[in-house]
Amino acid sequence: MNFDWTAEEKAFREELRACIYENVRPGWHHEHRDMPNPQDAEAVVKFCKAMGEKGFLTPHWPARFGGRDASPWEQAIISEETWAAGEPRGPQYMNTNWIGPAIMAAGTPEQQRYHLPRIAAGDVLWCQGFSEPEAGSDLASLRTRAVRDGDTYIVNGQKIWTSYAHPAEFCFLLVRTDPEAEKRRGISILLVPMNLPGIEVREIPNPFAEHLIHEIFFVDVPVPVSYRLGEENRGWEIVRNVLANERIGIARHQHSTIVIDHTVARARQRGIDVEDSGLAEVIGLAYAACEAARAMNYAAVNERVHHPDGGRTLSAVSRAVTGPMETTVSAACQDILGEEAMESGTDANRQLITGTAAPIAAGSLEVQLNLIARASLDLPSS
Amino acid sequence: MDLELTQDQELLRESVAAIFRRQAGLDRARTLGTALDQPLVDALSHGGYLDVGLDAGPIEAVLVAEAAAEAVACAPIATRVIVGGLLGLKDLPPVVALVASPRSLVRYAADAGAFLVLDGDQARLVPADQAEVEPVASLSGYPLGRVRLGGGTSLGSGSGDALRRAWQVTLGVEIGANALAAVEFSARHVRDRHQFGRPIGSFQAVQHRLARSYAQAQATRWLSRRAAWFPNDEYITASAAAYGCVTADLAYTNVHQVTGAIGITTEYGLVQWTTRLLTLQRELGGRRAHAQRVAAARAQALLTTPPPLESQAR
Repeated sequence: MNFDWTAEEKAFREELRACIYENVRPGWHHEHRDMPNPQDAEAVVKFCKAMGEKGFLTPHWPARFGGRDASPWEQAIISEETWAAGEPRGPQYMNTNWIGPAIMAAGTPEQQRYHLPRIAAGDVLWCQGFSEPEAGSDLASLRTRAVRDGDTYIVNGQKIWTSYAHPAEFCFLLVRTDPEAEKRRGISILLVPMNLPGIEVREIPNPFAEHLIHEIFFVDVPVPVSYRLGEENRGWEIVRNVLANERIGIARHQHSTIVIDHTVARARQRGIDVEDSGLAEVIGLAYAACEAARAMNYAAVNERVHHPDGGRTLSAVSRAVTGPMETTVSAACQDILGEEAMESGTDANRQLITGTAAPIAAGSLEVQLNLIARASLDLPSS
Repeated sequence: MDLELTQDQELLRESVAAIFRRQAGLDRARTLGTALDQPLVDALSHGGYLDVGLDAGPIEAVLVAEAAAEAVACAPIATRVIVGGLLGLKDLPPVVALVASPRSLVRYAADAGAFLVLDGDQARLVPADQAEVEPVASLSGYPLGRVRLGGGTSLGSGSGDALRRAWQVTLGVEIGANALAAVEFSARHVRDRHQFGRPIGSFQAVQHRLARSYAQAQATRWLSRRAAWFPNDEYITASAAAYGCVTADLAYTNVHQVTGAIGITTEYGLVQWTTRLLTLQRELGGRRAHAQRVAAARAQALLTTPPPLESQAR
């Protein structure tokens, strides 16, 4: 067991950091990754293209798809450094972490030739069409229908809580193609261009941030059968496998640590006594929660390195620690700045939504706890 | 980075686990109460396990300490292997106790062959013949005592900080292991205990209490292992202790809640771990002191290395 980064990993981090700082838009902030303005989407693409040109976007991809088979540790380093910079990849972390790998695993040669070079080059935005009004944590209950008509599927339905939908060029869409089958067996995946007729994106208003979440409506949308990823009705297996890798190594701890740094610095500027014993305790516990999430994240990455084919339990544990960490950091920022933390545009204010959403998004905290109860504690199903 | 155990570390873990299976465990802890398990100490000492921190490294020391805590070993194994190893102290007696202040309640005070004492920026090593010990009755899972100590030997300038950091690591390691053992012991209970016609462990309310405690205990374990690897970085070592205190509190509350009245009995055994958690989370100033150390260490680090994109702070 060795917690030191290797010389190669350190060198990789330094080169990566230089590339990030050279190419990130001046003034880029965490909230810009939601791309509330078209200029933000342009900045994401510009940044990712630069990362792609330098080989920092998909180094973990297999060499035959343009990567260099880099280890998950390098992927974790990329996540740490991009999150430290406010994640200027925007939604493209999804492209590189699991959409691309899903297309590698299940795509046709034509799909691979079309999509993978664009993802690797960093000039395409995707969103994921997963949740529905009646299918949130119980994703397999999704109802959006795709009915085959010759060489075309006609898609009708609604997706909800979708991030990044407004500027996305493609949607990784889960649809039901066999309503009679057991619910996990009738699902297919479609790689859907967002400019097809019948697709409408609506922002869902909320008090926290612009263009944070959206609805996508599909009304008689014609999708060529050739856009289906993998076999018909076998999409659940693909998505289960790729989502196992979706969040491993996401370095929320890196960003949250910096949020505390910034909030403490702001408090000092305002003359708040951050050395006060009560406040110092709050600050210290928030930092400690970040360090715990970091350590657990490393343990989960290590498990992925050594058990690439599954049987992993630490990913759920890592996520069950990381979500509450974000909430702890949010509460600490409120305590540090007091009412000023409610002021829009502050790190502390932005952390409010991060701390609220992190235990909800992409598999809720409760789902992770269910996984731990079954896989780690061998508790009986309810 | 590679967090897999080496072959030697796996062998160490297996061999020390075998000793604890034979010479420790719940039954023996119930029998001994808060008495020192001298045969166990002798076995570990003769086997060279108490010096693995010196001879092999910090992870090896942590592995021995984790196994000892899980097996409710009635001896201050973690103190000896981790603190002794991290401070590079040779020829320590097998039983060593840690003292933070003259008011401290000291674990295994009456059994210690020597005391490591925090004294400002210095640590002192005080032999038992320079100590007066007054045993203190408590519900702690450890024997406690107040001590009056002679001067002993100073370990040099800066040794106080090193002792405090090593102690923080030890607390994190011990809390992580005790909490994990308590959670896994409680999981067995809720699998077997039926109410309302089904195992209580099938109720999500019960599952989530244990799963949250398990996650925090695992995070404490991994953070503490990392702290042992970076013993000179108080940001990490104090984080291990501070987070450990939060974990101890959470695990204590949740394991007792799901095990009900049987859980608080001596006969059942869960209290062997949970009363230790109560003690560990209060040592060395407890959560508040550890957290303040974390905040101070981060502030100090930021003086020389500002966070990335500092100019964008808002």
